Amino acid sequence: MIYIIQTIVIYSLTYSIAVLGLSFVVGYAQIFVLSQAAIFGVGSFTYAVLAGRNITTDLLLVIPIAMVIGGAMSLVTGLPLLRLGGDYYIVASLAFQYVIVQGIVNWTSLSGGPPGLFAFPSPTILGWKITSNMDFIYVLVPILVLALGSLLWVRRMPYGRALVAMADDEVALAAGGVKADALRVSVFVLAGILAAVAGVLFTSFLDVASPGDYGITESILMITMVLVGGARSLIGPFIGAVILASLPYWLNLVNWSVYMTGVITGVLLLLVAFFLPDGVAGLANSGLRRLSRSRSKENFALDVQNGKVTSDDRR
Amino acid sequence: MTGGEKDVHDSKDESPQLSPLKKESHLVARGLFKSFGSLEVVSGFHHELEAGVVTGLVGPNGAGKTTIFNLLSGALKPDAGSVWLANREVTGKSLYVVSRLGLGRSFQDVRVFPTLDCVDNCALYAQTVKETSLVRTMIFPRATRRRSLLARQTAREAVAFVGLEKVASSPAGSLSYADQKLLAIARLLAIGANTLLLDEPASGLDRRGVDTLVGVISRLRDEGRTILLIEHNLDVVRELCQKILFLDRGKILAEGTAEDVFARSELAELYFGA
Repeated sequence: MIYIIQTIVIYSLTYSIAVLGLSFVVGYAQIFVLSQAAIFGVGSFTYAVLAGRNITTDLLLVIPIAMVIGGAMSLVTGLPLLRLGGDYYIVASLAFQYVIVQGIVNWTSLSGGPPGLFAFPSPTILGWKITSNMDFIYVLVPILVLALGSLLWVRRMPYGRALVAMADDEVALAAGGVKADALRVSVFVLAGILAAVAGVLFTSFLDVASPGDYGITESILMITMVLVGGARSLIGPFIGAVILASLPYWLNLVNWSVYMTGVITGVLLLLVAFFLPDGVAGLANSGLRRLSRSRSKENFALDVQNGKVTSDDRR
Repeated sequence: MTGGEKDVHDSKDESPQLSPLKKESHLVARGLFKSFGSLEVVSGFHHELEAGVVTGLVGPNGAGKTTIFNLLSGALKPDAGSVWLANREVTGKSLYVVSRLGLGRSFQDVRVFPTLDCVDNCALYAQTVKETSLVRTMIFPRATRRRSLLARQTAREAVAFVGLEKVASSPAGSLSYADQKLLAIARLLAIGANTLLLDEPASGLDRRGVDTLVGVISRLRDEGRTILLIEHNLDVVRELCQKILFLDRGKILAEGTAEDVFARSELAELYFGA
């Protein structure tokens, strides 16, 4: 039992890292990207190749290498964003998803072909062997905290201000001297870097890197995590990842088929689209907003009484 | 990035306060043409905007006023002709480049950022390209933070200038239309623009709103900023503009003081359709 809980925690944390950056892409750049799992796979194979060939298993080395490769690939796949409008980019990202995964599959000498690679030496950090589940949790938590902290930081800074403005009104953003293109690509690269980090952790834990794990279904799952949690809040993707990454285990617990995961994911996505446009995290926010809105209405009524507001002030 | 653009940032960094007036900052349009399909909207707009003066751009609907704004600010590229800002050619440069060079423009439909509060709306315009870079934000956290505070300081001053202190931390989307119009002007002050293009700043406002707005613009005029104003409210035009350009079918038909221009019966006829 404790083993299952630990596994659920590890999956949830790994997927949280994978989709944190994606929440910026969906929430601020307002693009649906269907190639996140492919970049996740790139990170995964980075560990598989480096560890499998006994080059290095030190995560302090593997993670930065994966960040560079994942970031570079996101940059390449992100540049068409500047040409293609949001809706068209969904199709383009779908193409990238296939190109990257098929590229991995067909580079047999590196990736081992369709079955992929497995059985690597355990990951290490400065000589410390990470073997038990608890060890992995000790590694994952600080990485997640660091990623969350960095994103919270950049969101509070002028960069984050520009992101919100980009989602609000791109023309007004340009009139303020900021070009949306660079912002959009940077968000995209950020998402790719984090996905690659998560990929490394995923494979170093599972001891497997198989191209089948990075397909379009996984990309849709990742987008669903972001949407279920709430794209514009940073706690949102975390909530979404916890709910969806642990889903197969809950199903197992009630003796349902694992294949129900897809059905439930789809239903969740529909429910969220209809009823919770801001995700689970948005629920709490909208509660607060409703409270403050009723208060501002009272103020408005007061202003009308005191003659401060005329009917023309109302929009 | 060209060296020229860098100079602009640097000069903006040194004087983030309000009214960093540069004497040479002026706007020149040379023979601008723009057609949409077979319709020629601007045909030979030629004007040197007088520095430190409020110039009104008036004319009937469809005269090409907003298109001229779009051409001057870089939102549209002219088919022919050139635009010069502070003796630098900016023809064909994008909106975001021209804004950084010190030309601020407002929009007919206001376009404030509804989810950002008033100070952040202005801070966004006050911040430079440096702070907006993700890489710099990650590598130089302290410097970024300092610059961010600086931008917010400039923003607060701009918000205070137009008298929106009370709602400074409310999301701009929750503001009344009149306040949003003031905020749109405050943003242009935050960017440090000496040349302002204001597109119908008084439209849709009640009397009190118009009075407040005229007050703000006349204070800007007294500071010596160069303003080009599109406005249909002739009371506002008479009160603010030292000079008027009467536009019809993309051409300047007449130029002069409000009295001179509106004394000409043929123009009044065009304008009022009498």
